[in-house]
Amino acid sequence: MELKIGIPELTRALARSQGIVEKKSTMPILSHVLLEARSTGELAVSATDLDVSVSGTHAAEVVKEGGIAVSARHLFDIVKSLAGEGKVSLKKTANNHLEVKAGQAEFRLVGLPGEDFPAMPKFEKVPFVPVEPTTVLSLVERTAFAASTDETRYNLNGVFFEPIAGLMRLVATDGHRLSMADAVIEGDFRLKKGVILPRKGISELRKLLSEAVEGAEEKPKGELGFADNSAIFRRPGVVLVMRLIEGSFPDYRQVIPKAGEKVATLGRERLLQVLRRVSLLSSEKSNAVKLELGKGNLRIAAQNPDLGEAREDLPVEYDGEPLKIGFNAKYLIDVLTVLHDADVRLELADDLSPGVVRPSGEAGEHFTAVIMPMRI
Amino acid sequence: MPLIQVLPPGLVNQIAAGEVVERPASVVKELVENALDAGARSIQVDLEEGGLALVRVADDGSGMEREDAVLSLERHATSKLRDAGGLTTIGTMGFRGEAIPAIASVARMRIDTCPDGKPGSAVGTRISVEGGDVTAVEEVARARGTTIEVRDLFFNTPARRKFMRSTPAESGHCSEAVVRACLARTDVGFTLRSGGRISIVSPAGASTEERAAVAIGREAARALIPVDQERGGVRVHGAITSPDHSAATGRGLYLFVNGRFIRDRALAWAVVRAYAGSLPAGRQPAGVLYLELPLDRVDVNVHPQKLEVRFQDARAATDALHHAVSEALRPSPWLRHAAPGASPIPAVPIAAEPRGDDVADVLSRARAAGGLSCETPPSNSSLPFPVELPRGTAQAEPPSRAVPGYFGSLRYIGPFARTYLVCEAPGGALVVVDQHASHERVLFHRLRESLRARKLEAQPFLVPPVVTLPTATARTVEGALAELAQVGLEVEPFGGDSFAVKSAPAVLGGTAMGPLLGDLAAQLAEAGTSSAVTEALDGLLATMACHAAVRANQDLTREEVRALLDGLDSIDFKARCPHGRPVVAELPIADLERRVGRR
Ligand SMILES: Nc1ncnc2c1ncn2[C@@H]1O[C@H](COP(=O)(O)OP(=O)(O)OP(=O)(O)O)[C@@H](O)[C@H]1O
Ligand SMILES: [Mg+2]
Repeated sequence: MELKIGIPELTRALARSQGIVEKKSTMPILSHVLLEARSTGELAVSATDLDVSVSGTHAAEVVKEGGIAVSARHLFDIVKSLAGEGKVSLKKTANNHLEVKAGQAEFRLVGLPGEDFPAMPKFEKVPFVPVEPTTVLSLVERTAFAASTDETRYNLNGVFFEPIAGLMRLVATDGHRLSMADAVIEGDFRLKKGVILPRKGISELRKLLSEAVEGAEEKPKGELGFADNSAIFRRPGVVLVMRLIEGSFPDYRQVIPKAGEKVATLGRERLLQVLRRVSLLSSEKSNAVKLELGKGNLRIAAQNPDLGEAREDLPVEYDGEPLKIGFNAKYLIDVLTVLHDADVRLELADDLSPGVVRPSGEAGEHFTAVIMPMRI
Repeated sequence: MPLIQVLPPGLVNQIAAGEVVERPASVVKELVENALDAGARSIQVDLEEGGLALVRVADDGSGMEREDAVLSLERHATSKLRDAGGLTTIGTMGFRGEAIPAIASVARMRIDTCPDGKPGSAVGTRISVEGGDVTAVEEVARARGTTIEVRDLFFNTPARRKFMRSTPAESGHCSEAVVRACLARTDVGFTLRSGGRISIVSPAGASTEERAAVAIGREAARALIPVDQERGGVRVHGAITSPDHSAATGRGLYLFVNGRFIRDRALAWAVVRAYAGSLPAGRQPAGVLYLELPLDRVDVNVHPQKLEVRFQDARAATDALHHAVSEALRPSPWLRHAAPGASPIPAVPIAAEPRGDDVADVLSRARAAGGLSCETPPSNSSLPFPVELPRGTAQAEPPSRAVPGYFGSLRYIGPFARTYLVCEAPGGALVVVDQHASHERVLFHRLRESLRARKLEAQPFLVPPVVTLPTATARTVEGALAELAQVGLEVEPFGGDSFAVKSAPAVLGGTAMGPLLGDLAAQLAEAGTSSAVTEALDGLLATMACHAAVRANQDLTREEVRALLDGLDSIDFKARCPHGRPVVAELPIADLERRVGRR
């Protein structure tokens, strides 16, 4: 293998692999990236942890075809340190060494044979559906934060993808709160039932989507498909494959309350600021704040026996019965942070039933957050 | 009249009962073993009130002729041993001829039995016994096999009866006895009903893994790795959990020697040792391991309940066990699959076999992955220099100069060994804080204070986690719902051995409920529900704090460290720390200077 490639291009290719390679793996090859020079004038860079794999192709001047696997982190560090827009040449030498040359700098990296690298999964006839990266990114950002990190609840360790005719819906929950977002989409994923996308895969997907959204393209495009227990996302020059979480997602519809009787409308940004301020004095781990809803006014208060107390009032559109309810401030803050709407609706029933947060107006039909109150 | 008298047989039997029949579970064990010895293919056990009101064991084994049935009630009457030579080659569970008369002497017993050879016109024998006295011998119609009913256990020995625990606790012990038999003989079908409710059904021919799930719980069973090795004439087979799973006690480790469940510290230790530090400190594996060796190399006649054996060559047994478990763990099959429940073979063939994994690598990774640790951290992360605690203070006390705000005044330097927070005290001393132990202590304190003030903030679940526990543990939890509610855990039975956790104390944050509930249950089982309530509660709170606390080997942000140090200032150090360990050590600058020869 021998080739020349632009430093910025290679830096970008290697950056993609960093989140995937296993840092503490017992299989040394999994901490490596696979470099493959192809006669088509391309360098393919692949990384995998066996559950999530990403592979990208980049234009290069290929002198000789072939492949080698080298430590992802070390090669990335080297290439990052090579300043400038110049080119770097990569050459495989005897005993699986990789020679890296740029200007006067020369490195020889110990590598492993390319054949030892786990093959990227191949799928035939995946029913791909074109998706807009902007739309999918927004769905992911408004749900993924609610996924559980408790590994014993593995069916919650990801984002549930449910195909509904004409809609793409994502749902995530950690058991205490739930977030659901959907967007109109055309095409048929040919899924019989919903599937769970793993957290790590979602975070890689998010990177590729932001890359697309922030890229130079006028109207970025992408395709999403499902086959053989995997989800596949691809864009020109890059493919991401993630193994789905096996297990069934809880029946989320059951926990979404019917339209609440006590509905308050208020400014999102203001509510967010007040919550951040008041929760400074809530107790460290529970983050408990008390909401007192009255006609036209919402009072948010926190107290901590060791520190003291805080409270702040803010105006709301509300003229129902008064209500006192406790929440983990973090759950509210998380939701308010991922929304961009000016006003939100707070729908409550009583101090023991789950509360709903959604954008006010029409946008509220495409996003729902459910939060279980706290008993304080 | 001589002072010494030979005791009447009734009393002798009662004395024997004292050794053999400790509680209803002993009755279950003895009767089930008899059924197994009689060649039963299917055994049914029924309990009422945890076995105190009724234990009934029905089998489809050989049955007994009338004459034999009557003899079975005689002390030292057995069909399983003829002469002293036979004692060295015992292949049956029973051999003393002691169990039936002993049980009969302390209960109301009824034996219904019918031997082979009379299909259709089956006429069997019914013998009724009360406190050891035969009250009736009649004919009864029944199919081949034996049913023994034991009612009102200890009715004539009130002292013993008083020692019995609550019904759920006793029924937990009984189901444990059935579980052991289930594991010992996967070729026999078992059913256990308690208070009319089915609690275990396992058809004949179940796999070890299926049976293990009943014993150690479904979650743990998912982590099982098969074991099968032979060394020095000892075959060891079964399955053991990967280091991904661990428990606070060793109760999930089932050891069998030639088909007999036994307890043996040396053997259990050989298993733990095979994990070579890949388990978090103080945690134990679960699993089922069978040792098979020639009958004449083990003496089974050493313990009244036959729970111990003596090996002719104990080293050979521990070596074989250690070797077998090490071999099973060596390829580290668990490292490839983080998500439990994921199929072991990827649906897409992209996985290359792990090649040439070095055990050292595997172990260091497992160690790095860390885990709960309430014990002293492993020695490899202990301080490389002796840190002296200030004189005249108990180990668990903070440095003597500690003043209010002591921890808040520390300047945090950085982490050490990913387990200790290294700080500088204003007076110029080096202070080392154990991150897990100290956080655990802060949480324990908070939990206890808010419980006292009746202000425990509870965070109910929107989607309650459902936790499935091993059968015996499940019975304990069932009997301790009130105690759990007192510490803020609202748990509801969810059918079978499953429970839904409806609500948990808010300070527990995202703590995994399954392992927590398992550990709490183990603790409750050990304490018994009758023990002093406050003491038990403190123990439970300590366990909850331990689960929720940051772990060793977990990286903390500066903000988290700050919050932790501030938290330490707010707690009352005179209170005993939950596990009695010091959380902080101090090295005054003067000592340091002396050590490096500046003074
Ligand atoms: N379920 C049964 N089916 C057939 N025979 C039985 C059954 N239970 C007991 N027996 C007969 O009764 C005898 C006495 O049983 P018992 O349990 O008292 O003694 P054991 O099993 O021989 O020895 P150990 O006291 O060690 O258990 C047995 O040897 C056996 O012959
Ligand atoms: Mg017996």
